[in-house]
Amino acid sequence: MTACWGCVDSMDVIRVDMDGQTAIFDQNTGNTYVFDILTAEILLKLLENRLDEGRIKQHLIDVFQFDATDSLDDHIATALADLEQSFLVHRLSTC
Amino acid sequence: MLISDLSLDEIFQRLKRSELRFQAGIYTICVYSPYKVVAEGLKNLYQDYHLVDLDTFCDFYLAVKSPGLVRRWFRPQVVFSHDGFSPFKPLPADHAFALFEWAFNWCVGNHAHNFLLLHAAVVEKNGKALVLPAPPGSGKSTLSASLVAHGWRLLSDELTIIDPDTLLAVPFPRPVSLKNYSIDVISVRFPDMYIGRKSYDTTKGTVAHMRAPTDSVFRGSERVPIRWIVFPKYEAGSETKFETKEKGQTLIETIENSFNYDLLGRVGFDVLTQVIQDANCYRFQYSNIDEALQLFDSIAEGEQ
Amino acid sequence: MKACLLQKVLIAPETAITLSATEWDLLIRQARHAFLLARLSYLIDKVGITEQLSEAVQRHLRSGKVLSNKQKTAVKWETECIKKALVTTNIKPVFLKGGAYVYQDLPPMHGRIFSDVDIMVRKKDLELAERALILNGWIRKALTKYDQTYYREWMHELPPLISRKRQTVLDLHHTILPPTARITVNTEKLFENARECDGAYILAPIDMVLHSATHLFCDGELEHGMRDLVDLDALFRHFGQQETGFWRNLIERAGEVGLTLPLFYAVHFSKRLLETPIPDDVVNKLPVMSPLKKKGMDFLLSRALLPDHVSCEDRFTDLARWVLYVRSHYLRMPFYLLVPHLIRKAWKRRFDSEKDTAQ
Repeated sequence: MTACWGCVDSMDVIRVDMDGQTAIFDQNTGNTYVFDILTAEILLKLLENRLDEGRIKQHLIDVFQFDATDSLDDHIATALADLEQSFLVHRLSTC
Repeated sequence: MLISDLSLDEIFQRLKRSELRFQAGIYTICVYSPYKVVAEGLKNLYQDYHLVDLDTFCDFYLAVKSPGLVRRWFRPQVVFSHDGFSPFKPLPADHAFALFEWAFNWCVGNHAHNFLLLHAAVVEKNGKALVLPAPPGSGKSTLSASLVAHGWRLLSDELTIIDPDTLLAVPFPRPVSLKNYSIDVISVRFPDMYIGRKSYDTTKGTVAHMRAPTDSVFRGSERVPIRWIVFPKYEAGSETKFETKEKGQTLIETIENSFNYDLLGRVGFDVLTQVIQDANCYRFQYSNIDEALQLFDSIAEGEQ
Repeated sequence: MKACLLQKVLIAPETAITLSATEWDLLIRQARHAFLLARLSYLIDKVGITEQLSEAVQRHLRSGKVLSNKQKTAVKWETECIKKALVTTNIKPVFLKGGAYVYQDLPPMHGRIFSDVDIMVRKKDLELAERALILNGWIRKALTKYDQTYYREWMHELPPLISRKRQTVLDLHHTILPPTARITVNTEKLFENARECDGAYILAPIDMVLHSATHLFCDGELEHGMRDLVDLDALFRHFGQQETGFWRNLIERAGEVGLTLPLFYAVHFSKRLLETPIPDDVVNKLPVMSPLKKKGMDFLLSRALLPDHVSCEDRFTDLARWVLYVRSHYLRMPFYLLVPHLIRKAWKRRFDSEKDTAQ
């Protein structure tokens, strides 16, 4: 499940993994977010690499040993949809 | 010397001269008030607290006084000021002692940003702290008062203070505030516990205070690690339910119940994530106090 | 008027090690009332005596520091958000006061308590800038019709903007004093000399000092008097050492932009209250004020600039504050507007519905 407080504003974040969830702290705004680990991975890769699904997918396969199957594509799609829409618009506008 | 060593009149005289200074946990406070009801409240509810000399450092200068000449006598009101600054609107003079209690919490809540502060009760058993964050209406005051009456050491019923350097809970023992039905519940279930004068028609309804056990006051310097974080919810007629709560969710909800997390920035995040990592986190629903107490006892024992 | 304890420690922080518990008690209370607790904490850290102080004192100093650090981060981020909002308009804002100190890591930023962020753009760019900000999440503060009139029609200023997301306040200026003010500033010269820094501007060092002086002595209500004086002292010391030609050009520049009077007050009171090391030849070259006026301002400001705490008052302090309060409004607006405005303010304060109810 996702407990989220809006989009992540800056690149200056730190993370802590807690039992299947990831807490992210944005050092510039002071906002705190909690995502399930997979969504957090995707989010952080988005922050690092801009919008690049191919590399995110490879990272998830490497780190989580997922099979490169359609269900992974679905999961990424769902996770991306889970993230606040405004976040994606925000990031796209600064790419 | 303790407050109990002074007569009511001596307390009142000192209050009027701004010379009543005492220690609660780590904090030293100097109180001024021309209202006898404040003196009575202090006499009855703060008997075990140590008095402090006039030449010591005082953390807070708190006054509960009249807002002006007219309101001293006509539909009398009281206002609180912290060293000359009054953040709140006046209240009826009858609520003077309840105002003192809120004011003391306000002082710490607004000036103790060296600590992480949560709006949560915290009690201790076997050297470990149980934190009960709960928004109003969750039954926290009845539960925490019951735990204390039942033998848990009181650190605070309102303000969980966490030291960022050690992650330990810092005691701030004070009279336990009770509202509305919880006043009757506690006085019936624990007749040996002293409950002070009621203030009626406050913004929170009827308010009264239960005296903190002597042991809790005397051990006000013993800091302890946080072992359990439990989110209580009183639901009339419900079964006792006790479930593990996800740590991520615990983090978010604890932040929502914090006074100053947003001020501490990275430090707040590091402290809270670590405290939650080290603790067992639960949600708890109940309607029966005895079952609740039994459950918490067994958790405390299980940790041995 | 004898010096208050806070003043003495601001001048010589290392002496704080000798203070008794009661003196520390008083010092912290004065500092808190002057919005200088965090500044005190910074100075005490700087002279390396924090660890030797009692736990109780350290607690309060640290608490002040936490607040100031948070605000510094918030202001820093705010300047980035403002720049980003204006980037498509090609308007580069001039950051003023606290925003500028943080933006450029200038000494006054240490331990400072900030309120709003102030930026200045040219008058012709004002509307475009406001629109860009609104498009990027700022909204106009909800004001009464009176307040709207006050700002736009009388002061020829824009009402403050609030960031919807961050709840921070942004003041958008086109000059450093209201056009209705009795002192006329040559704002264009300030723009000409402004220094570019990474997509925005800050005032040139001398202009920054002049602006700080103007704000303190000719614009505000002095509620942050001591804090603003501490800013000035820090700016004098920093630029006096780091900026070539600072002392040499100070008076001439003040004349050029029309701010000799605030400079006079700044030099006089900074030296008097905080012992700022200002070279004698600068002091001597300043125009001489009429002795009567000087005495009057001394009487008023040496009281009103102290912390608003009972321990720093004498029987004239309230009067001094009131006179300066009226003066600050008198300097901003024509006389026919002044009296009704002051009456209205007094009325609002008396029946203040903005305070919270106690828990």
